[in-house]
Amino acid sequence: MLPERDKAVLGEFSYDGGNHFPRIDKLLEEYWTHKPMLDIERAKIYTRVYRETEGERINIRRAKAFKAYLEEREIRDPGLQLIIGDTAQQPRAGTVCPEFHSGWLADEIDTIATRKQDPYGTTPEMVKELKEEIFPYWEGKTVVDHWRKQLPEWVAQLALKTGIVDADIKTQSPPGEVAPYWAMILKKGWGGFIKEAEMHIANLSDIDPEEAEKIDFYRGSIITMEAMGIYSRRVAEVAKKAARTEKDPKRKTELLRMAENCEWLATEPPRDFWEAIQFIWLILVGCMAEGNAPSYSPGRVDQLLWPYFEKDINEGKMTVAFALELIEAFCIKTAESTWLLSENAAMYFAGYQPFHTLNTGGIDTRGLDATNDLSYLWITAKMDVPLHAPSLCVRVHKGSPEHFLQHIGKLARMGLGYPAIYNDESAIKMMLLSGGTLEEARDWQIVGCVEPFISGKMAKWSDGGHYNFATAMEFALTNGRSLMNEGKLLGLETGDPRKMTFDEIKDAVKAQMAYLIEAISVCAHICERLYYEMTPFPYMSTLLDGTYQSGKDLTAGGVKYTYGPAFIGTGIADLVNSLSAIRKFVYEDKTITMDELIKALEANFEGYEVIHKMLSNGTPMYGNDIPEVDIMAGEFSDFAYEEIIKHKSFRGPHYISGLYPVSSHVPHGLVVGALPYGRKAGTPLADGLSPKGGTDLHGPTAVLKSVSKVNAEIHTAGTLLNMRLDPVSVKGDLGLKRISSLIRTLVDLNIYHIQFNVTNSEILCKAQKTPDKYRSLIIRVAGYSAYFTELCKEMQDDIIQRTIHQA
Amino acid sequence: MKKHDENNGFIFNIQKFSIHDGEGIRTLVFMKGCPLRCIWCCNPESQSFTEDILFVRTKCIGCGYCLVKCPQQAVSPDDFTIDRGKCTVCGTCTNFCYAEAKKKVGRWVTIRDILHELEKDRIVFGHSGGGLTVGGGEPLSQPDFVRTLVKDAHQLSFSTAMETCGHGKWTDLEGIIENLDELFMDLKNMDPERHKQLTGVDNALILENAEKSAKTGVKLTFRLPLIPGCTDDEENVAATARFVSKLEGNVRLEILPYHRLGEDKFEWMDREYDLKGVQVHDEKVKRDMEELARSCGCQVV
Repeated sequence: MLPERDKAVLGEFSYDGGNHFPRIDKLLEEYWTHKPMLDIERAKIYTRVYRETEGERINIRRAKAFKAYLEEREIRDPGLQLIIGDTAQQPRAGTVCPEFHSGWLADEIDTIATRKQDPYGTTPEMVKELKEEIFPYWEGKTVVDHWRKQLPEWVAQLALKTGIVDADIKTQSPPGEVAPYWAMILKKGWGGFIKEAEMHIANLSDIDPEEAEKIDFYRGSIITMEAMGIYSRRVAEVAKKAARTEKDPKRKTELLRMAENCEWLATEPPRDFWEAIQFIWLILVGCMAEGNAPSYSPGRVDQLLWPYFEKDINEGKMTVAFALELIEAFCIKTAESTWLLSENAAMYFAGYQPFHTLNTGGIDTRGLDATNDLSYLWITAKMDVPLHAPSLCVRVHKGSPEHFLQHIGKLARMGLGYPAIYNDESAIKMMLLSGGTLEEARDWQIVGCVEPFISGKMAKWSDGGHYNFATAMEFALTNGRSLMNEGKLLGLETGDPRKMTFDEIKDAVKAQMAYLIEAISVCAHICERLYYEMTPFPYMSTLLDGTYQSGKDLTAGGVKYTYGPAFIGTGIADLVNSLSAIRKFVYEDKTITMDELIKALEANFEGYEVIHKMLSNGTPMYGNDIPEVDIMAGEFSDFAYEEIIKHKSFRGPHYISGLYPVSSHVPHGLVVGALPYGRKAGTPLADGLSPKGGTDLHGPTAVLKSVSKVNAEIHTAGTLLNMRLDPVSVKGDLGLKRISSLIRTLVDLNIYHIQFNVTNSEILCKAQKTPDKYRSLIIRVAGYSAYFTELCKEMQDDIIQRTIHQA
Repeated sequence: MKKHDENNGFIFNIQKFSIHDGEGIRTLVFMKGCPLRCIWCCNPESQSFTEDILFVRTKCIGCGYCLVKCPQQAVSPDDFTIDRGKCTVCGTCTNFCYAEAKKKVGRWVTIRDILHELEKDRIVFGHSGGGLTVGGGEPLSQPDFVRTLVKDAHQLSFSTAMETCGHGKWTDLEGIIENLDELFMDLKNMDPERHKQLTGVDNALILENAEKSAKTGVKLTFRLPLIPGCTDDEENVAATARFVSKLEGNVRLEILPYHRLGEDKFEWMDREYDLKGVQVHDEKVKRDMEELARSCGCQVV
C-alpha cells in the first residue's frame, strides 16, 4: 500500500488518473497540432564540420560536429513547458543524420512526405538543400554504401535483394539501444566527466600508439561534455528571455526556475527532483543529437529519482501533485522525438516510436521489493498522458504488492497497450547469463522494445538483424528454392522432402535455419567493424560504464559488458504449426501425400480449397496447450539459440538471440510462400512468441502454457507475448483482480514478458474507416505502442484479425 | 449405447478462462442432456442425451463431400441441408467437412480426462480463486459422474462449483453438494403452469430442491434469467425474490440479462427459435428489476 500522506503534501490529484492539469491538457492539445516533418539542421551543420575536419581522427571530427550542432541549433521558446531543451527543430520532426540516412534518403526524398507508413513532411527549400548541398557530399561515404560493397554475394542475395533476412537496419540509422549509466551520470554531472577525462589524459603519453588512441577518446569525450554545458546555458538563456516578457508572475517564477536549473546543470549534478528530471531530459537531447536513433532509455526512473523526490517531499519543497505534473511534462517531451527510418524499415518499426523506455517496480540490488510512490506515479502519468511515447515497462516479481499489480491493471485496461509487464526472475537470469554480477543483474532494465539490459553497463545492439523461422520451413520443402522469388535457389539444397521421414524434415529445417543465421552474422560483423572505423559515438560512450576505464569507444568494445548484436527470430508459431500439420496429415493420418501438399503450397492453395480448409481447421496449433505441438517451439528456439551463440561478433564474444519481432512479422510475411498449416503466401507471420492470430482457441491461460514451453531465458535479447483481452473481462474491481492474477501466473510460469491489449475489433474496424475520429487510439504493435490510425492497412488488418479472448 | 456412470460422462464442451461462473478464472465442463426444454435455451445442442450434428451454413464452402459420403442420402444436393428425418447422426459427413460447417456435438469423457484438463490450469486457478464449474445441459442428469468428478477434484484441491436447473433427485443433489464450494441454481418462473409452458416441466421439484439445498449451508446463488415476455414481469421477479429471501442459508439472487446467442444455434440444428425478433433489454431494465428484488428483502448480486 502507498504510505499515507497529508493533503498538504499530496496536493490535488488522483493516483487513478483522470487528472487534468490545465498546463498538461494544453500541451497535449498543442502536441497534436504538429505533423511529423524532416529536420535538416543537423545535416547542414554536420556536413559543414565534416568538410572542415577532413583528415582528423574520426571520433574528434564527430565530437566537433556534435559541439557545433549544440552551439548553433535553434532553441524553441519554452511555451508552457516545465522541462526544456529540444530533440529537433519542432516536435515530432525527424532529424536527418546524413552520415547514416543519406544512403536511402537520397532515393526516397521525393516520396517520404507521401509514403504509406510514417510519412515526414518536407519543404521545397529543404529538398533543394539536401539534393544540392548535402547528398552529393555523402555519396559513397555512408555506412550503408560501404556495407553493401563489402557483403559477399551469397549474403547479398538474401539480405539485399530479397529481404529474406533483414540486417540493414543498423546501416540505415544510428544504433541507439543503450541505457546510459544514470546512477553515475546523476552523481557526476557533465563537469565531473571533464575533470575525470583530463586526469586520464594527464596519465597517458602520445608516444605510445595505443595510449595516443585513448587520448583521442578522452579528448572527444571532453568536447561533447563541453558541448552539453554550452547547450544547457543556451537553453537557460531562452527561458530567461521568455521570463523577461512574461506577464503572469507565477509563470515568470517558473521560467526563472527553469533557467536556474539549466544553468546549474551546465557543469554540476542535479540537487532536487525538478533538476534531476530536467537533467535526464537534457541527456536524452544529447543522445538524439549525436544520432537520431531509437531506444535511449531513461531507465528505472522510480529508483533513480527517488532520493530527490523523497527529500523534496519531506522538506515540503514540492507536492506529490507537482511531481506528477513534472513527470507528465517530461512524458510529453519524450513523445516529441521520432526515429527517422527508410520506407522499408518503417514497416518493421511502425508508428514514429522513439522507444524511450521507462521502467518502474521490481526488486533492488539486494533482492527486496523496491516499489515506491514514484512507481505508481509514472503509471498514473501514463493514464493522464496517453501518448505512444514514452514506452512504460513495469517489473513484477513474486513479492510485488497486490495494490501495485492492480494499479498496473488500471492502466492496462485503458487499452493503450501499456504497460509492458516483465518478470524479474526471468530477466535476472538473462542478465546473469550475460555476465553480470547478481547485484548488477537485479538492477536490470528494459531498453527499447523488450530487451533487458544491465543499467548503464551494457552495449549489445539488441537488434542486429531479423530472420524468420517460416523461411526455413519453406526452404526445407522446396529444397532451398524461394516460392516468392520465382523458385530461385536462395537456401541450402537439403534434398527432396518427398523422400524424407518426419525427423529428416525437421533436420532439413534446422540446416536451413543455420544457413540463414550464418548469413545474418556476416551482415552483422561487417556492420560492426564499419561503425568502429566510421562512426564512433564519443558522447554516448562517455555515458556508459567501462569506457572511461578502458579508454575505448563503445563501437570499439569499450563498454563493461559487450554482447551481441542480437538476431531476432519471428514466426516460431508458423514453423511449429507447419510441422504439426505435416506430422498429422502426411505422416500420421496419411490424408495427403507430401507431393500433394507441396503442389498445394506452390499453388498457394488455389484449386486446393478443401485441403486448405482441412489444414487450417484440422492442424493442432501452437497456443492451445497441446504439449506435443508446443514442445517443438522449445526445440526450434533452442536450436536457433545454439546456432547464434556459435558465431563470434566483431566487438564481443558472440551474438545473442531474441524472439521479439517488433513489427517485422508483416514484412517477413511478404517473402514467405504458403505454409502447410494453411497460411497463404505473403500474409503476416505470427509475432514473437505469440501464437498465430486466430488459431489460439482455448483462452489466454492455454496461450500462457504453450508459450512457457520456450526456454525464454536463453534468448537474452528478449522475447515477447501479446495478449488481447476483451473489455468485459477486465471491468470493475473483479477485472483488476483478474489482471493481477494473470500477471502472477506469468511469474509462476517463468514467462519473461506479456502485454495486454484491451480493445475490441469493432472499435478497430471503425477506426480503420474513420481514422480522424480515432487518432489517439493506441494499439500495441508487437513490443510497443503506436497510433492505430497511423499504421498502414496491412498492419491494421493484422491487429484486427488476432483472436479476442472473449470471456 | 454407452451409458453414463461414475467414470464416464457425456459432455458437449470444455471451456477455459470462464469468468462468470464462480470465483476467479474457471474451467467449465458442459454436460450434455437436459430434462428441460427452455424456449430461450442458449445451448440447444446441450439438450439431447445423444450426439447432434450442427450445420453452420456460413462456413460451408460447397465441396460436396457430405452429399457424396452420407450413407443415408440425407444431404440435399441443392444446399447441403440435412434431412433430419433421414439422418441417423452417424457423423460421416462431419469427418469429411474440413470447413467445419458440419460439426458433431457430444463426446464421452472419463473423470481422468477432466482432471487432466483441470491440472493444466492449476497455476491460474491458484491466483484467481478459480477452479472447476460443472454446467450443462444438466449435471443432475448424470449424477454418478458429476458426484465422482467434484469429489475427486476437491480432493486434488480444486475449487468446485455447479450450475443446475434443479430438476433432479434430491439424493443426487445432496451427494454432489457435499463436495461443492458453490452452487448456482436457476429459478425461471415461480408460476408452476407458466414454468411448464416455458420449460416443459413444472417447478415443484425445483423449488423443493432449492429449499433443501439452502439448508445445507452451501454458498448458493439463484439465477433468474430475464427473458422478455417469459420471466421479466414484475410479478415474477418479486415472487422469486420473496422466495429467496425466505430461505435459510447462504443465499443470494442474481438477475441475468437475456442475450440472443442461442438463436444461431437453433438454426444450425434446423430448429425454430420461438423468441425470434425479441429485443434485448437495455441495462436499465435489469437494474430496475434488481432494485425491485432488493425491495423484497432479497440479497442481489
